[in-house]
Amino acid sequence: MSVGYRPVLWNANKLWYDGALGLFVGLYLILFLRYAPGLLESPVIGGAELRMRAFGSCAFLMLTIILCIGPLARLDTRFLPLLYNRRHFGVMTFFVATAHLWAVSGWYLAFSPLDPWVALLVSNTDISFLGFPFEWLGMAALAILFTMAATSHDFWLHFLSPPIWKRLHMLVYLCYGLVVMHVALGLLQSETGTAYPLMVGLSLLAVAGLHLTAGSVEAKRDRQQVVVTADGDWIKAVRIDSLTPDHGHPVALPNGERVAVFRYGETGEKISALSNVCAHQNGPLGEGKIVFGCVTCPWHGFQYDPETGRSPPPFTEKVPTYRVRRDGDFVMIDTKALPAGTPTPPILLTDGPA
Amino acid sequence: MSKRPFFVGYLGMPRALAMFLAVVVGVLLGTGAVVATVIVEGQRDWGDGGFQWGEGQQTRTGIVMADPYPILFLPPDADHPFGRTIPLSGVGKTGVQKIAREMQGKPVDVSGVVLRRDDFEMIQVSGNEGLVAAADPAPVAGWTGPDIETLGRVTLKGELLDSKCFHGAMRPGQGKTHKLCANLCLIGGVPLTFLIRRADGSVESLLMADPAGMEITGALLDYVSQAIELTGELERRGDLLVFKVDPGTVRRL
Ligand code: FES
Repeated sequence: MSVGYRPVLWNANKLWYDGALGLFVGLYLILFLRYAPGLLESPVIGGAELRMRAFGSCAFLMLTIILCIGPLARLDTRFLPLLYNRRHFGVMTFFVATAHLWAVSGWYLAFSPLDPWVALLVSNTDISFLGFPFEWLGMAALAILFTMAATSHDFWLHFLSPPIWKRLHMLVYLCYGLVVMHVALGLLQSETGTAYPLMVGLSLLAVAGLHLTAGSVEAKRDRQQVVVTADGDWIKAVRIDSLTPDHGHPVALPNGERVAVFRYGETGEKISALSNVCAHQNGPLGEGKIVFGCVTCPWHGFQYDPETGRSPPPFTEKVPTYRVRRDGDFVMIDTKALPAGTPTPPILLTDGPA
Repeated sequence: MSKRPFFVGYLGMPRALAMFLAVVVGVLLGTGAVVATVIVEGQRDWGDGGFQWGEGQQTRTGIVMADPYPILFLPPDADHPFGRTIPLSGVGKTGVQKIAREMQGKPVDVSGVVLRRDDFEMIQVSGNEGLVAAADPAPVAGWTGPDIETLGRVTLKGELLDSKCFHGAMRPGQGKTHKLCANLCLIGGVPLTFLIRRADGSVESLLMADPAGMEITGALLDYVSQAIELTGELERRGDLLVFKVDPGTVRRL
């Protein structure tokens, strides 16, 4: 959480994460470049061209993995640690993609009287489907990766505000689409084998398939919830005995918002409801847990007092709270959210039988 | 309390979760290894042409023609009854039109680095001193270049290439990924050729020209590195085939 900014805050988990990331990229490149007989000269392709393909394919694979992490974590919370430091994954992808550009500009764009950057823009102007300058698509994708890498620090998150930052970083999907077209209009037109289209297809299948699956699982979960409109803005949200103490329980409101309901306290005697949307990067608080008495976000561990929606001092983040009351075996929620950080009394189960 | 492990980044890692993540990392590393291997293995063979640096600076004596593109014609000998033709380029992505035009039709010594792909040869001329009047014109005495023989009108399917990369300056030196590079070479003045495949699988590289026999790069640039069809007059000059086309006949396949 943020009180002041340091370039990057490190901890043991982030070091492990970055170590694994470095290992992945290093092994991929070494295998790719060494595998071709003679290290840099292969009988079928030049060394410089092999490097272009090594960096390019590595960046594509990394982007595919990045996009799979989100839905995987929604389907199985054990994947959440992969999400924890995903921004380093993104920054690394930007560097690998830049190496791809550098390999291309140092070879295919070099040795010409034209400046390589000018050459990139003007030397192929055939915009027919088969002749399309696919390099332009790659450049656009790289520009998105750059923007995301440059604004990945929490300073930018606060400077731009979480909703705008989030929207900016949703451009990763556009970036992926551009990369797929870059490959389809480039390499897939040069290489005739089935291996390449097959791999691009598998990437698309993984990304689209996991997103659709995670979406439909969530929709199903929302439908199963006991959401009955009762008096006024209050709804009968969830059975008290279905709440696991110290664990979040997401509830979908009829207006589309999501609420995180928590049962907590020494003996699990209190129940409160907060917005499901973390003030940091919109992480799902309903999938979080009570740690040291605070609601803890599953993504990066931001914490909130369940009764006030405020981060413990010195932190200043706030999320909206919801009024709750008990109706027999049920938790009732007032669907009108209170302003972020508004204290509201919890249901006390000691007041009557659960 | 449930047994579902919960991960908070700045706290420790629960053991069960660490095991799970180790497996995930292993799977990702394995995926990377498979992808890298499949991509390297799945590549087409882009030929083993290239600069023959090992042969050092080579000099050939013949007659130079500037149009449609700079070509050196070597006189017939025992091994080459039709003589030989060697396309010329400058250093990097440049042509040698200017000096070739100055020496048009004259006996010259051309020196530079040879590019060779199978039986095809090309010379990268080493600057202005690389194309000069022949020091000893005796080998070409009494020969003014190959006879021109008209072979008639034909329609051919193939791919437009820059001859230098095709000879192995780049590998791949053809195809879509190389299109930008090819265009740069062609804009710089490297001879434009049309690669066709005969029924028996062997390839032939035709030198392109407009109907008047002059260079045609600008009109065909948008069709480089694609499967296309062209119609025009075919002409033989020594062992070189020149394809004189009207750019209007181009058809994408
Ligand atoms: S989204 Fe980052 S901590 Fe909640």
